[in-house]
Amino acid sequence: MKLTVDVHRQFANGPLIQAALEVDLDRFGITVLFGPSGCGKTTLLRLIAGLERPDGGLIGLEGGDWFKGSERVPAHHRHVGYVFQEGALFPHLSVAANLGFGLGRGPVRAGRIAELVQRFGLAGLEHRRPGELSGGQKQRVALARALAPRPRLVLLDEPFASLDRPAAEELRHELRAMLKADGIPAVLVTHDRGEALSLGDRMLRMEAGRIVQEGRPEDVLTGGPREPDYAGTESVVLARVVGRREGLLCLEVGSTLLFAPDPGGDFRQARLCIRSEGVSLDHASGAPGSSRNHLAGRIVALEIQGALARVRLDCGFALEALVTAWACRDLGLGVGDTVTALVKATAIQVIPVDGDA
Amino acid sequence: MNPAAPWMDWSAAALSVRLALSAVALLTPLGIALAWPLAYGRFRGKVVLEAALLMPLVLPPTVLGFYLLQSFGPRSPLGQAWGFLTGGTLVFSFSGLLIATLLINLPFFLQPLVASLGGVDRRLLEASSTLGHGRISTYLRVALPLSWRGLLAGAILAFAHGMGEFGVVLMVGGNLPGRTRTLSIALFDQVQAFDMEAAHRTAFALLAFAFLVLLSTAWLRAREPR
Repeated sequence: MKLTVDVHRQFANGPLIQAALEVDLDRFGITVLFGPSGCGKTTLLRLIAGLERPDGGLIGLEGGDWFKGSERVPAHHRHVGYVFQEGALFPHLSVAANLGFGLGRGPVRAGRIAELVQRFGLAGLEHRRPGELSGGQKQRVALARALAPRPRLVLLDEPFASLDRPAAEELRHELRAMLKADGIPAVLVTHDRGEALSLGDRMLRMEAGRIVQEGRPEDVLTGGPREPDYAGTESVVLARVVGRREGLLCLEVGSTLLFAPDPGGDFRQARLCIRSEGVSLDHASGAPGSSRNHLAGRIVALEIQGALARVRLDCGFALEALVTAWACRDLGLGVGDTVTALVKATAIQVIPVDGDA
Repeated sequence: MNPAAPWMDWSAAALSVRLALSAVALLTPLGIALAWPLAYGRFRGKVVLEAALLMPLVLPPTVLGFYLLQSFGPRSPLGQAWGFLTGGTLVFSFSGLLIATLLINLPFFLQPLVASLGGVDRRLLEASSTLGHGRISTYLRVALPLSWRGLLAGAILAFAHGMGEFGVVLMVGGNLPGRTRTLSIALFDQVQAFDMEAAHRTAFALLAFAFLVLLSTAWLRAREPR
């Protein structure tokens, strides 16, 4: 079953939010809604959950639309789990009562609570109040609480934003497995590139209230700016770990091998972010320098921007290089030429992909 | 000192306590029901409802008493209906006093409760709705339990104010010993009779009570987590 969203909403002092997307409710997957703060990601999530009313449009679902014309299914009838930035746990209830809040009375309730306590590492905390939990524990409870009634879809609004870095990373590594155990598809809002790359199966990039790009995370982020107001771009590619030695990882992309610094941790797949200014070019038979990575490729596009040249290569995957226009002329490079791309290992950032993305 | 007079008009004291307690007992469900639209409702005429419910705060009690007397009278529709149902009258009776006390204390009960409800984190209410709870269930299971201090403060204020109300009580209930003569009316009687010693005792009892009550509500509010 597919959830089809095509809605708009205008706030008095905000941008016009006008977004269309589809979510498959029958198959597990994490859709990342990625974009800068203030671009309308949270509003879009709230519109889907029914916490905000669209000005118009459609939220369609087979067997009963959630929003159509003036008809609206209220939030409490949508069976959508929602995880707030700071948990929003009920402070007057124990952990167990928070987990059971969305469950009916009856014999199933206690069993489900016990199962979630086990799975989310909350054993021993059942009788505590939220005020007595650490930030990471609170978010675990919030996540478990949202999943408890087995919703059709779970929406996560920057669930790691309120956590300190170690707690955020720990939870991030476990999140995928936690979601997958119930097979509930998820939409995750984030402005953090690393989070998006390590968790997303699919990415929707949002800007100024609109969804501007959709696809696999590596495809959406390739060629995009690494940071705002920065000339360099990056290429993102999914790779398989084939070996590790002396702090270096050996990774396989298609039939190409790459070396990159090992961030540590146990993972078998990673997304590699390659800074375009860390890629230099040479003739196909160039002599090896200090670069660990030599890739054969073909130039598919070449764009001179003042003193710089942006060169797009096909090395079995898309790779961008940022070199000087002068070097480009010196080497006599043109579209269609075969070259060797030299990638410094230190120009590659490795973002582990948890589980089997 | 008048040797015939008791140390305190105990029947008046008992009546005051009974009246105030009964009023709070009825106000609690009524106030809980009315506080919801006031705190969370968005509807036409909300300001009118707010103003109407707050009116007893500024209206001279005798004015309210006068209108109640009019509408409670045996010839009024309300008085007739009451007579038909119970065989009694509303005027100069405990039931009439109770209804009057209820109305005049409604704002005292509602104000702290509505303020507490308004302070509840909206996201908690939203979380409840995404977990399948409708508005009434969310109100009773999340908003109200988190506003218990406001509820208690409202109940205490209404109780205290109900103990000492004078104008409305005199208008509607008159001054029948044991039936409608409350402590504050007994005080009036004592002064009229130049029994200043008894008046001092009655007045001080009411003063001490009022102070203790305000102290307890201030303490509750100071502890409200924000």
